[in-house]
Amino acid sequence: MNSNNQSTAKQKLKKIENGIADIITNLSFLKGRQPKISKIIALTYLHRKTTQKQLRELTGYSLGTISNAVQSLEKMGIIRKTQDPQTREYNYELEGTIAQPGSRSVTNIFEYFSQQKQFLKKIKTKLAQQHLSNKKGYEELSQFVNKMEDIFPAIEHATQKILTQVSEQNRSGSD
Amino acid sequence: MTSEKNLLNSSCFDPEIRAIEKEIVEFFATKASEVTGRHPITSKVMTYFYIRKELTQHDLQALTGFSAGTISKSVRKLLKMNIITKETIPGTHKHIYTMEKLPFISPQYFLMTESIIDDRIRELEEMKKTLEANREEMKKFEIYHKSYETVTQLLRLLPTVSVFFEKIEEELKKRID
Repeated sequence: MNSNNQSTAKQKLKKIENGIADIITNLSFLKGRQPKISKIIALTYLHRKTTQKQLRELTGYSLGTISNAVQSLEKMGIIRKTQDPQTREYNYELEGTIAQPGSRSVTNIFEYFSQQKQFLKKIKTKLAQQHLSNKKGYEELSQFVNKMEDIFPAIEHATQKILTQVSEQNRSGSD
Repeated sequence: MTSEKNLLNSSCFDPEIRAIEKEIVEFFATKASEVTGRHPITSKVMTYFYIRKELTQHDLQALTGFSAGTISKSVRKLLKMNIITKETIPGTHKHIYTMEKLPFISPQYFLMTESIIDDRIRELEEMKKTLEANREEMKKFEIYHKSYETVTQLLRLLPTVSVFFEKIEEELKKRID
């Protein structure tokens, strides 16, 4: 009886685990993030630490897919790789939490905003060359650059506000 | 016979302008992908829509150099994300895809986000109930605690997603009007 209860609890828990991973994957789709990558992030988060082998069992993805995904996530500063000194197997852990992304990826966002500002400025200078202003495509590109210059500061500002809000909530929530 | 639209979109930009356009697309495809985890192909196609507003799959092939299959796949993805809309060119069987506004400020995108978020909140509340009701049997398993913590965290976080979009809209109104 008792072991029966335990196995249903385990099953229910497994279902919830998949449910959470699906929700995170789904939400990331809004940002256009690749579903497989998001699922790996979600599962690594839930299990605290994963290995490529474990991720393969959990997702059913090929080892190639998993190894590519963890590599690019490491490059993006979203997960951290450590080596188990005994088994020599690599462990993957998420930097930070889901609600409060790893400090490195937050820095990345702001770094990206400033790179983008510089880039748009450079493009604007190029477009400002006299002889280009009546060329085909000039209007489209100028409009694009102007729109981006309007939108990105707004996104940057909103991101900053939200991050402050979330980290305050986390602080009060963890008490 | 190639439609005029096709020629108009794919090759008519002045060569110097086209070179600048390529530079822009390259920047957004590589930099934005690094930050968002978005697929570089999706980013590239999206950037062309940002710039040119309406395109056929044929145009996209000509502009990006990607295969018909790749383009069709990424167009389907953008349709599913509500970032572009699809229309048939009158008198032909060809489709033209349009991005009206940038996705962040498209009301459609915003509404979709909101309904998705509401559904997810309901699902998470169900999960939380199940976790709480079966706490005794479940807490033996290591994953219980992290699952519970994540469900709670997501329930705190998700309402802020709508706030995030509202804030962006607010900011944009201030800047654009």
